[in-house]
Amino acid sequence: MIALGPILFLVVVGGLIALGVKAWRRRGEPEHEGGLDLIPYLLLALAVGVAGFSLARLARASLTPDRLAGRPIGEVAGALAGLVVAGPTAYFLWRLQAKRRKRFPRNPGWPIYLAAVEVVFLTTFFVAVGQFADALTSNALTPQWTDLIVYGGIVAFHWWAERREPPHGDAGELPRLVGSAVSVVALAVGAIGTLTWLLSEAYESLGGTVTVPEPAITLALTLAAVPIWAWRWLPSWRDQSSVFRNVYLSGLTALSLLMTTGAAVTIVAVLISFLFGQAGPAERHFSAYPAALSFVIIGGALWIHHRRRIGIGRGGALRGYHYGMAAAGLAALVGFTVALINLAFEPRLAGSDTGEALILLGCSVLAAGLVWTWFWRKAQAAPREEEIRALQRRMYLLGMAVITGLTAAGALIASLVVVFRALLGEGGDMSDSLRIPLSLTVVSGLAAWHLFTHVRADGAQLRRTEVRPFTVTVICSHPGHLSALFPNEATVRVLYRADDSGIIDATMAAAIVAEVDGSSSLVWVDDSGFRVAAAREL
Amino acid sequence: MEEARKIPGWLWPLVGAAGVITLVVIGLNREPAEFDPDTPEGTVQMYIGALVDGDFQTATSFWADEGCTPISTIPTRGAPEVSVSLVSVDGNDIQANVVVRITEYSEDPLGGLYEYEEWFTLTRQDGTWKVRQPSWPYYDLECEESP
Repeated sequence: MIALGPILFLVVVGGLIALGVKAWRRRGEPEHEGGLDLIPYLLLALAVGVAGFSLARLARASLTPDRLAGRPIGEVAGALAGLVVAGPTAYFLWRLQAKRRKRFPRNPGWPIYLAAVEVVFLTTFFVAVGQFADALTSNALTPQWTDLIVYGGIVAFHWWAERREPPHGDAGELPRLVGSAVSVVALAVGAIGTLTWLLSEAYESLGGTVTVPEPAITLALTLAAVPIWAWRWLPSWRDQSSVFRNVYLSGLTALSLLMTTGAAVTIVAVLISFLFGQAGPAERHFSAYPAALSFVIIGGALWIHHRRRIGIGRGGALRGYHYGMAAAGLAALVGFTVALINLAFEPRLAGSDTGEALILLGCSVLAAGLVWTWFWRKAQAAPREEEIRALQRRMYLLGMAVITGLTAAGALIASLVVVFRALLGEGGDMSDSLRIPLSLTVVSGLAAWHLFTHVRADGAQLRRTEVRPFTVTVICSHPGHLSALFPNEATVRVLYRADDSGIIDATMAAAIVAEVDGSSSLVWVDDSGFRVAAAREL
Repeated sequence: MEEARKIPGWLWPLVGAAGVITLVVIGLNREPAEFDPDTPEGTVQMYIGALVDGDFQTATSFWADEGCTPISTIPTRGAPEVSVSLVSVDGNDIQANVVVRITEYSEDPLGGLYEYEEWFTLTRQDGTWKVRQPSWPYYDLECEESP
């Protein structure tokens, strides 16, 4: 009786597995390139994830010499359970998908799987690098070196598999792009931290008062991230740029410029507030400079590198970068303007010094306005016909119009609640409660109005320039070169007159094309000239 | 020639299984490290060891405050089925902070593990290290008022 439970469990699980295998073998051949293959790869990614984290846990419990009391039975049992289930599953699915990749090499499941593994395990690897460096340089006794080996090993194994079977298709660049993104974030965090430490030391040696950060983690991150980023990003790419690479390049270029601009605004605002006497002691007032300068230097370096990669041709990456910056500038302009209005009109009970904050907000408003104007003008200066069809422009205009419009509507509702409460006899002074919602309604509403105006203008221009086929029926004695003057979308039919009084010369042909103006028409030519009548669209 | 050099497919799972079994054997056979009882980490080790063994009398002898008793006589966080590892030790000759990572596991197979870090503050009294209260696993104490 005691053994009945486990036996029943095994029978049920075994039966389910047998049914699954049978169904799998009967499923027949897929019609198109083996399907998307995403579900088996999703299961494989889950199995590899569970197996990887279980192995790391097992190694940590078994190998790190830091135990004070008890045996790691709980950790070992949990890790072993995960490995027993996920290990064979991962092995089975890996072999199965390896066979399918040989038959359908262009399926997107393989690069998506590699990208998913890279984002998870490369991130955990960098976290382990930071923890290891922290343990080595602080009072922590046991560096978790096993995490480094397990996570690094999983990442290296997948790099090897990717090199052995390079992914193809549109998504083929995803693993490298994801690896580049994760490592460039680690590189930026590490380099900014390290530079902040160096500049803080320099600032302190010059007599300044600043909290000097510990450099161990950031230095280790920099050292680990530089070779990985160089290996994933720098080698040559396919000639033709993919959508994913455009998104990566435009996003990273915009983010690095925003980082640089934000830090530069802080530097300028701190200097202005010092010059206007809105500061405390000088040695403490400039303590934000080491960090801000680090952001400017690293952000600027990243921006220069990625901006050069985009090039000067107005392709998807350049458009994404321009409209991304315009969107960030507009959003910042709305937010900082509302904050500035709120702070400027905030009632003060007694001597609270808001001068420094006002200067910072004022500089932020100016910078956001400058960024938005600069990039919006660049977008407006591009050739119109191609630009208004660009997805990036539509996303910017429609997306930002909806966001600012909804914000304005929500703020208006909040303002009206305050007004109605006052009208119904509840609440005292309205001006304090109305300040933020009302300013947000006005500023956000203006932005929405501006954006919707351009949405409408683009729509009108799109309709005007839309290419529609039309038919022109010409009744004449001789058409001359008339048909050559019409655009490609015109179908020209000629009905010949029996006399010689309707011959079309070059001047008349140009006049007919201008009058027809892309609409289906009937054209009558005789010795008095030509007449045009609208015809039913065919 | 290529076929002859190729590593058979069954070898990889075998190597993986052997590695896992090795780790399990090492983990289960590892005894706790032996720290010097005259150090802060050694004191914490003896204190926790006494608690895990159920010897509360010995455990309270490591307390810095005398005359205190826990309001409840069981640990506040479940059963004492724990394994404890050392994270860091920091301090000087008078006072020290010892950080440990405690892993409790449930009797319920689906209960999983409960892992958290705890800080022990120790003071040097009469040439030995003593644990200042309140600390794991007793946070609620009643102390006699000093005269």
